Amino acid sequence: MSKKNIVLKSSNGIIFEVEEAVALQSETIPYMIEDDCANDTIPLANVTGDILALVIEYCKKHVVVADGDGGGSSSSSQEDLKNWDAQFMNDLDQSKIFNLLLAADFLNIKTLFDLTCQFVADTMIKGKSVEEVRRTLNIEKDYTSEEEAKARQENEWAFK
Amino acid sequence: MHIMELIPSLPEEVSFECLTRLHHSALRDASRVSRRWRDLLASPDFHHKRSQTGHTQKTACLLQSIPSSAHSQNLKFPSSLCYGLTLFDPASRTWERLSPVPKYPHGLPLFCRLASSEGKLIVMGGWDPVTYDPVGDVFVYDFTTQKWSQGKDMPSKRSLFAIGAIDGRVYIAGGHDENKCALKSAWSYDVRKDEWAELTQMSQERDECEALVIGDDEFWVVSGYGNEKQGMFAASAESYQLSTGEWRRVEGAWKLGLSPRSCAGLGKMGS
Repeated sequence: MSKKNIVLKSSNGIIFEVEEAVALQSETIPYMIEDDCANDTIPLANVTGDILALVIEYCKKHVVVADGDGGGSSSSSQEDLKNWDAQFMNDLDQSKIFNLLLAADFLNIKTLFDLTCQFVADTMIKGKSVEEVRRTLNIEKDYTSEEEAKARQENEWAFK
Repeated sequence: MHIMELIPSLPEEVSFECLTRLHHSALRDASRVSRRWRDLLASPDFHHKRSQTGHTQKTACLLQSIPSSAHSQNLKFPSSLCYGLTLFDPASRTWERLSPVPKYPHGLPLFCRLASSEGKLIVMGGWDPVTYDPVGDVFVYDFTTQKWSQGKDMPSKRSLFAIGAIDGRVYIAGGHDENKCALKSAWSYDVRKDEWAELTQMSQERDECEALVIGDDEFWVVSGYGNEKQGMFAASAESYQLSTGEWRRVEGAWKLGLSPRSCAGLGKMGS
């Protein structure tokens, strides 16, 4: 049986041709195929080429594993996939991570969205001081110094 | 007015998704990042989302007597017990002692009652550990911010009453008042609003009764005894239905004369 390919076009005009199974990990793309059946190319106005390349890399990796284990998920392939995910995320800078998160949200790829949200929570917030979190995420400090001092005192008390 | 974003350059719902995935150990510091984060982390929506997606942890909370220390010489009865709260986290298999409430640094009121609701632990009633006078204090421990706060006092001082929590409200019934008179009155405490509301009364007084919550609509009060029947525990129970606001009496629900302290809970979802 021949595999059907789908052509995706990024916001900056870069064309990607992928197997249908890879593209269908997005729950948004099927609607676009139906809506736009006359045209072979699906334009993704919100996703740039470099981010779309990452999304496709992720989807390819995950579709291969889903095929490969023939229904029963072996724990070693699950483990490999987890390690691959961790490495994949670790190689990205913050701006890429945010754009990947937005793309996963827009394309509705649940596992990628989960992975990225969890990565933001675990690496940009957890284990960082309040000041570091603000700096990392560019959050303006809206507490007054008095409120901060009070909060710090209360925390000290709570942990006595 | 300029409204601050949760995380600049991310849509609100995406930021919300990120924050609900925070490990619980990071919540306390996170609530200090901005006012928006503080308000979000304290909201019932945030807690519901975390509990739906499996990001809350279950913790066992025990009221235990703490080995008496140097404090005990200040007490009226130096040999008496001093109660504190101990937490067990099944995920990390660790035990931890909860910090004392500011009002009772040397031990919680004796016979105080506990309930848990939406990531908060509620402690109320009991006897002052120093004077043994009944108290109507309400304390709320927020597991998110890891802080104690004092809630609105109970409408009247009450001891050895039944307590249970359903959907953000704590229900209490029976027990006895300051004059050791058994009570048939019942109240609910709205944890979010810090408000008390009276319920219809039970069919009889029930001192030393026990509570059981079934599903999300039934608050059961088991056994207890009236003034004239000191210690003669009743065999009846009654169940308060939240949807109708009525009590339904059930005879023969308990063994006559037996204290219901050993009555087991049958929670639908836990909390």
